[in-house]
This record gives sequence, C-alpha cells and structure tokens, in this order.
Amino acid sequence: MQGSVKNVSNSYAAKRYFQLAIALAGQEFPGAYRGNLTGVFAAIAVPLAMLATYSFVFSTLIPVRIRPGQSTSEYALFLFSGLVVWNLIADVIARSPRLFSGSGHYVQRAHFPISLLVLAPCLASFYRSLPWLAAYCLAHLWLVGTPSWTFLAAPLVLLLAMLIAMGIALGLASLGAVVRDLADVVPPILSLAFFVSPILYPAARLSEIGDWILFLNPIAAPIRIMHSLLLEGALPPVDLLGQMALAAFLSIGIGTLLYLGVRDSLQDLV
Amino acid sequence: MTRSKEEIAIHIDGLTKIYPGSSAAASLRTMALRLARKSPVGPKALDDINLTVPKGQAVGIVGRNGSGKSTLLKTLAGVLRPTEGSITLQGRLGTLLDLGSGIHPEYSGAENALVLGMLAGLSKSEVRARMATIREFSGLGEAFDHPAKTYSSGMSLRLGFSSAIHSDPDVLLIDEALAVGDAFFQQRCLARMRRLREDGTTIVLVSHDPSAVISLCDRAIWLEHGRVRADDSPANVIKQYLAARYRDNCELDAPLAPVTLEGDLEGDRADREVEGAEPPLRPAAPIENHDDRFGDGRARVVGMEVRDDFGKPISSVSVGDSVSVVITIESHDRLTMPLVGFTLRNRLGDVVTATNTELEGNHLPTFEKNDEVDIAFRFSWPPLSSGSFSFSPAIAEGSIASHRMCDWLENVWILETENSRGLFGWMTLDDVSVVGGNPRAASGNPDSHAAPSAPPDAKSTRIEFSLETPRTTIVDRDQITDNAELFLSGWCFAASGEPVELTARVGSESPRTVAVAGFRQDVGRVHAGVPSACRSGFGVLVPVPTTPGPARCHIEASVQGRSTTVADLELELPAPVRIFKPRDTARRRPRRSTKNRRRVLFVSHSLNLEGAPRSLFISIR
Repeated sequence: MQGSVKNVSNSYAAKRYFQLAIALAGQEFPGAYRGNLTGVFAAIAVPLAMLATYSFVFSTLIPVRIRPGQSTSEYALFLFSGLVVWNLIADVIARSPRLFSGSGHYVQRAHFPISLLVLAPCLASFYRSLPWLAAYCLAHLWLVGTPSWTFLAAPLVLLLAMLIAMGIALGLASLGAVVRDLADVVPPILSLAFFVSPILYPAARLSEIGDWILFLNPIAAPIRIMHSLLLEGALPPVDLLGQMALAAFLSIGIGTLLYLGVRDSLQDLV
Repeated sequence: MTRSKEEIAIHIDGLTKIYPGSSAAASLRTMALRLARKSPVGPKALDDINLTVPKGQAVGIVGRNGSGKSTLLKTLAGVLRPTEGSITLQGRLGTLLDLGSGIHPEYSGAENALVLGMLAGLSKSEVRARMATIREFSGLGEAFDHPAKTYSSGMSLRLGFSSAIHSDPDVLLIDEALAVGDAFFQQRCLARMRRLREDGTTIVLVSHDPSAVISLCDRAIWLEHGRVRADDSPANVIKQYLAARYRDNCELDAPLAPVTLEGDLEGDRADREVEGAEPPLRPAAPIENHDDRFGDGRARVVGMEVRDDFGKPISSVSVGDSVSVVITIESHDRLTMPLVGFTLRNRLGDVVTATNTELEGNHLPTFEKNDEVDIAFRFSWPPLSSGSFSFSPAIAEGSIASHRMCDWLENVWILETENSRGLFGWMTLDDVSVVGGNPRAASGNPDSHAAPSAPPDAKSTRIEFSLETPRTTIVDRDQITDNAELFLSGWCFAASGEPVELTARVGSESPRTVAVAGFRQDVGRVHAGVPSACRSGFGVLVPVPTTPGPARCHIEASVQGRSTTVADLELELPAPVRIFKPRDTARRRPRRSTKNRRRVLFVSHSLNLEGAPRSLFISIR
C-alpha cells in the first residue's frame, strides 16, 4: 500500500495558488526588465526588430505572396501572426521535459504545489507573447491601417493556446521526470511540428496534402484562428473554435492523467 | 487515543519509508522484483513509526547519523512520500529543512522572503505586512536588498529562518538548522522558538545538540535504525541516548588496544580486520614538511589527527563531542620510558591545557627501534569558548619530572570550536543555576526577606539511579552469559559526590557488588545541579538462577556505609540454552567480542585513554 500524507488545513487556497504562480512566473524575467517602463519598451522593441527584418527579407530579398495580388509586406504580417502563437507554445514545450526533473529544490520543498512548476512558465510565456502582439498591432497600423475590432479577441486566443501548451507541457514534464532522455527528443519533434503548422504557408497549402495534418496538429487551430482575427478581421469559423477547444480539453486531460500517474513518486524521482 | 481531533497536531500511523533508489542497479532480478512487488525493497529508513503529537508540544528528535531523523522530518514536511502508513497534520506548516531551499539566487532577500512566505502559506499582502519584521530579525541589513547569490551560507540561513519563523506556522519543522549561523543569531532563534512554543506552535526539532533539545523541548524521541527507541522527557531520553552512544564508543574502542606489550602490532591489526566488526585504530594522517619542531629525533611524530566518534578526521567540534587525538610515533631508537602527549593552544598561542600518557595514568611499554605506534587520547571536548585551537603533539623519553624531548611539533592540527554559549572569555560554565532575581522594595518589607532555607542535611544525600539493561523485566536469553550471569547496567550517582557501592542480587543467588566510578562530563551535564565528578555508569554481571520463571532482582546502593534500596523488580528469566558446540570450537571463537566489551564498559569510565595496554584492564579487574 502506498502511504499518504494529508494536511487537514494546509490546502492551498485558489487565490494564493495564483499569487504564487504569478510570483514564480515573474522569476522568469531578468531583474532588469521587471517593473519598469524600459523593460516594457525593450520587450516590444525585440519583436518590432524581428518584424522589420521579416518585412525587409520577404518584400525585398525574397518577395513572397501567398495570394496573387497581395502586397508583399502582408506576408511578413502573416508570418508574424503565426509566430506569436508558435513562440508561446514552442517556448513552453521545449522546456517542459525538464520542468520537474530540473527543479528539485522546489519539488523537495515542503508542500509545494508541484503543478505550479508548469503553470508558472506557461504564464511567463503568455506574458512574453503580449508584447509580440503589441508589436504586431503597431506594424499592422503602419503597413495596412487600423486593425479590425477582432484584434481584441487575440489575447483570448493566446490564453487558450497557453492552455493547450500547458496540457502538453504537464504531460511531457511528468514523462520527463521518469524518462530523462525526453529532453533530447522534444526539440527535433518541435521543429517538425513547425513545418506541419500553418506558419510559413497558409493552411490551404497543408490541406492540399491532407486535412488530417491540420486536424491532428493541436496548434494548427489557434494559429489559423489568429490569422483570421488579425489578418482577415473576421470571426473564425465555428469548426476551428471547436477544434481548438477539443485540443485544449484533450491535452489538459491527457497531461493531467500523466501527472497524476507520477505525482506520488515525483519526490523520489527528482 | 482519547484526545479529540482538535488537539492533535501530528498523527503518524505505521509510517515506513524505503528509499526506492537504495536497491537500484543491484541486479535485474531485484529490479524485476521491485516492479512485481510495486513497493520498493531495501533497507527501511523508517520502520513502522507511530506517533501522536498534541498541539503545542515541542518534540526533539535525536539519533545517530542515518537513524532516520531527517527522513522522518522530510516525510512530515511532505517532501518525501511514505512507503507505507499515513501522516495527518493539522495546521499550517513552517519548515526549515535545509539551507537555501527555495531561495532564488537572482532575487533579492526581500523578493525571496516574499516567495518563501507565500510558499509557507501566507498571502502576498500578509508577507508584505511582515516584511519589516523579517528584515529586522534576519539582521541582514542592507544585504536584504541584494541578490541572494551574494549571500554566504549563514546569511541564507538567516533569510530562510527568518521567513520560516514569521510565517505564523502551526507546526514548525526544523532540521539541524541551528548548526550554522553565529552564536548571536542562534540565541535569537532559540528565543523566538521558545516564544512560538508558548504561543501554542507545535515544534519538531531535529538536533545533534542535546542542550537545545533539553532547553527547548517538552518531549524527546530517540530514533535508531528507523525505529523509536525511546520516547520520554528530554532529560531522560538524552541521558539514555548519550549513555548508549558512550557505550557504543567503548565497544568501538575495545578491540583497538593499539599498543601491545608483545610489540606484535601488525599481526594484531590483521587479526582484528578479519573479525571485521570494528575498525582497528588507524594510523593518523602523516605530517609532511613540518619545520616547526625540535627534539633529538630518536623518535618522531609522523602522524597526527583529531577524529570524531566515527573515526572521521574533523576540523570543527562542539562542546561535549567526543574527540580522539590520534598520534602516530615512529621510533628510531629503543625508548624504555616513552611519554606521548599533546598541548592545546588557543588562537593567541596561550596553552589551554596539555596532557600525556603518564598524566593519564598509562605507562607505555618500551618502544623498540623502528616500531610504529598509534596512540589515541579520547575525551569529550571541554566547554571552551568558540574559536580555533591547535594541537602540538610530542614524544619524549622519561617521566614528567625529568625527560628528554625526542620530537615536539608545533601546531599540527587546528580544530574550530563551536560553543553557542561561549561568547565571552575562555570557557563556559557548567551547570550554572541562577537563583533570586526578584526585585526587592527599597523600603524593606520584612516579609519579603524570607529566611534562608536551612542548609541541606549533611548526612543525607540524593542517590540517582537508573537501570538501562535489562531494558524490560522479561529477560532475553542472550542477555544471560553462559546461562549463569545477567548483565545489569545503568547509571548511579550520589548528589553529594561520594562514591557509591551497588549490590545486586537476583533470586537467592549470591550478590555482586560494584563500586561506581567517575563518568564523563557530557553525560552528566543532563543532571543539573550535581557536581560532575560523581556521575557514573555501572555494569555488573550478577549470577542468576538456572530455573526459568520469575525471580526477584534487588539492587541496593550504599554510600559511606549507609544503604538504600534503589531497585526491586520482578524479572522473568528465560529457559537456559543448551550449548551444542564442541568445547574446542567454542573456545576458538572470539568470545572476547562479547565479554570484553562488557568489561571495557565497566572500567573505561575511569579511563579517558584509548591506548591503554591490555594489562591495565586486567589489573583493575
């Protein structure tokens, strides 16, 4: 029989849990950036520089048009809107196998809510993606004009993308605590995932090969939704929203199951 | 348990912990077994622990290294998961398990305190409200705002302790934390913990420092091999624990007898290694290129080290720790009256004390040319104030009054001493009791001037007595030697300091008498107010009837002809064992390993010297 430790009154109140998550997410940012305006400017300047590079490369060096008759600067916006979502998800997943196994000092801490180790980096990634969105907004204003009101829904999509990433990361972190080599396997799979996601080319190109690619890829839906919100200024089709909700539900479900599987032995494993 | 659930802070039921890693990589078969059994196999770090700690109690946990103290604490903290059994905790937990856990190096002390406080269960605003107090208690000053990576280990401890103690824990778990940090901070922590205890916080403290356990705790638990060996008042448990530790030390020392009259040193050592039970006295670490020496060189000090209980060389020591000063001598000539000793100096070079083999009553045998000899001086570290002390070993020929120095080495080994009470001067006082302190009205109310109590009757003396073995009234077979004699051991001393004679009789067999010799100070410190010289342990073999069943055990103590009964109990004797072994094999077996120990236990109390020749023991017997 497996032993148990229970604390009658030491359960973590939800409020404190999130306060702690936010405090830990804050640890992700270098001290110089925290809590001052320069940090915010720096956070927006980096994606802006990226965006400037993209628009220079893809309008001057290799002019790319997705649709005939489209302006070349629009490709940079297309690429960038996909990258906003991709960066958020890939950032979390790339680190996920080591989230538990690499933070022994927290896992070994008394009554530390271990799930925070996944939630905190997810929140941090979400924070990081917001300046990217702001940078996109500025670029859109400059290159195309006032963005559509649907732009306001974009942070919500990022939040849902974060949930998908969190589910996957929770599962990978749990597996990573048992199988240490997972950390070496994940990066190549991620770069594969990059090319089967509608980031460099529109979803239509991928569905020419097969719709199943878009359907099986859990991050395709949020990227496509982002495209429609930011570029087309239109509400996304319902089936995409359903696909994203399903991806979030499944990834969190499977991730939680894996986590519950290893939770009891985590302290011994780490 | 009749207590209501409300009053129980910690309830441990059948707790067993096996580290799954302990048998890993042993073999594929064990791994397969582990998988099949699901529960890990291996040594039990904790073995069926059952404890209930009521709210507001302060419990000290003592035990040797590896006895499961820290495992118990970590399991309580939820850091380790029990293999079996359950733990129920009531209330908010504050922990200080190891230094720097949860301290983020890039964060300042304040930011870390915020996260630590939230981890301990406070909300952000609650920690903010306490921040000033935490800062002040930690005593970090400006460093509180610097990144934690710039902290020393003592500073990390201050931060961790300060956060833990200000998180209003209902249950506070502390593991050895006080070992680090300077004396002032330790005192502040102890004071703060006392106050928490008064406010009803349950405290579980793991400590090597018996005085901390006695002064802070209401209850002590002695763990050994993952089991509860004793669970009683701190004074009682510490007494038993130190006694057992001392006994174990004697057992360790028993087969050493490094200097034999035959000079058959190497052979003797080899024999003992085959027995394998206890390590022989290892030669001390060699001294290389030591220029600061003088003497005629007919013998040289070639090695010296200071070791702890476990034979590990040490560079720091606490008051009351037992230390062995091991000196290795190489003789280049025949020395008829060798004299080996050492001088202890403080950091200013003042001689604190010095001793040698003759002073300790051990006359070494003649050293032949090219002999190599190891000599150990074992004693408990005196209550010197904190600081560093150096040892200067020496070998001479002759007597204390008149000798020729063969080799004298200055400052070979430095020992850092920790004494939490020793803030001033050279040493701390032992057994100080402070009386009075009630302010008196200046106008002099005659009633407040109570007449001084009558001096204690010079004729009467308090005798304190405790029986350690047999531990239970049902006697095991293996406690009776050769079906004839039962080993009784324990503690006895007279408060007046006079020698005590114990007479023990079991059934109608003939009685045995034993005079109780002086004991070491650190053991005696437990009994406040009693002069240290008179504290003693005893051990005696008493004849027992061969018939199994109940037998009366009667022990009388007599001081200067006056006697009193100190124990009268009904023992349940086991059936005698038949010995099947042929005579010669029985004789060849090293029976010494059981008998010698007892004898050494019995006499060693009067000896502080490890390297006494075997004949000395015999003559005392």
